[in-house]
Amino acid sequence: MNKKHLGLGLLFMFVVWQLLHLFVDPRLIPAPVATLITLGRLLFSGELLLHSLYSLYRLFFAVLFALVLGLLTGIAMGMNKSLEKILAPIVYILFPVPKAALLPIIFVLFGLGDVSKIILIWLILFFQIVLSVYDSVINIGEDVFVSARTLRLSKSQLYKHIVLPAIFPNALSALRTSVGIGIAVLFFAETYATDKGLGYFIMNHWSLLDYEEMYSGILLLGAIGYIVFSVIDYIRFKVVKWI
Amino acid sequence: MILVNDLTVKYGDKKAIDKLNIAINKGEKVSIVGRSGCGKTSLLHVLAGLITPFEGNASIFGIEVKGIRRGTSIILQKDGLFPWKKVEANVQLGIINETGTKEEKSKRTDEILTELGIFDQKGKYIHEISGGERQRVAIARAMIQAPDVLLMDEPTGSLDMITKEIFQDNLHELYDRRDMTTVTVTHDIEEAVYLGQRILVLEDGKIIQEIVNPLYGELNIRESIEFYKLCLKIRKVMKG
Repeated sequence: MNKKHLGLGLLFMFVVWQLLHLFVDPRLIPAPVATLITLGRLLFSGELLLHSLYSLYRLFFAVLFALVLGLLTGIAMGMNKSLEKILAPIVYILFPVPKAALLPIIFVLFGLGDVSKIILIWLILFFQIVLSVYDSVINIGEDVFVSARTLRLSKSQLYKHIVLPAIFPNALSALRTSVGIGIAVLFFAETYATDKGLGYFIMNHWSLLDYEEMYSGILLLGAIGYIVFSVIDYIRFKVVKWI
Repeated sequence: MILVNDLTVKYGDKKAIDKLNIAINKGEKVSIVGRSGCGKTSLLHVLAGLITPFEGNASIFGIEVKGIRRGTSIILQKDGLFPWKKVEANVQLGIINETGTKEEKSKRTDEILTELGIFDQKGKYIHEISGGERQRVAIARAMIQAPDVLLMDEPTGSLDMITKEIFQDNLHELYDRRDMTTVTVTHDIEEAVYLGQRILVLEDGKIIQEIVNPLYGELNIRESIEFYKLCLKIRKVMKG
């Protein structure tokens, strides 16, 4: 997405927002300009920055753990038939279980702090990444592995030169989807047992009827998503040149 | 010498190769031609060490084939190139386990790419080059391993007629420069005749005809009546 397209997209969003502000309810939907001014004020005061840092810290570690463990599990399932037979049914059973329902158990096991919030986000992302990576590995194609065998590649060479590059584009797509879902889950996780994070900030200002502040938090969540997506797109553009 | 004695390869109950016997002399260029499913790819995979175990015996230069042998290069039906690697990196994978500095390997890669006329493509990804160039990259990756046995599975299967002929001419030039035993399996009768000193016709996992090619190595044989007569003869054998 170039700057022109970004500008047009934002303009469209703000025009619709302004129309909703004018024609729905100006108290429930504050004007976009007033919200942007409030957002700037909250960022400069450091208040919103602190909440953002807490959210980013939780999101970063949840995504990192989900990505590393999801990659390892997905590759292991795709490359090893015995492990596939054991792990696939477990993943298929656990994937559709609503992880938010496990929140009380997670709180009991890991306390009310950051660890439980990271684990909740991790749980939701992990299975998605596992399935995406697993699918990528089993779709590599027998001819690719035969070709690799003819070159007498060692196990580590096989992973380095064949498996990892072959699944890399799909892993990036899984990461992008996961970050999107991760931000949504982050909001949910931060509405419980914390006074730090954008989820808390938004819900707190909603209960105080401070709608400009509430929308500022929502805007910032969107901006974080946009930045992370842009970074992933940039990596894809720079690295994945063979598609 | 490549020797195959009473070779049988089964997939479940179906025999892909049935008590096959072949002897190929060192340096000989042999074409194995047959219809789809006749067992020619299975035979090539046995010689490449990709299929084990099997019944019977296969040996290359006196050593039984038990796995992938150093000195045997194979060009697969689909070129077997890796799209995420550039041409140069694809070729260098052929010598990844050999000793030598990065510079030495780079020099060897440049030499083989120059020999095959694709040096200018070395920085490109596989999807950025033509089908004929892909096949030459596959050949380059096989040749950089300095093989004494080259196995090819339908090497021009995906190419148009003119590109195919140019590629076959490239192969002949390679044969002239290098001392290799080559086995080409193909369903293309003209290709079998053009590339083989000896042509073996395979059907249902058995050799049904063996023809010594009197035209092999002659200039412009594709333009001669004898070439087409020989092709017609093989065609009749294949049709039964």
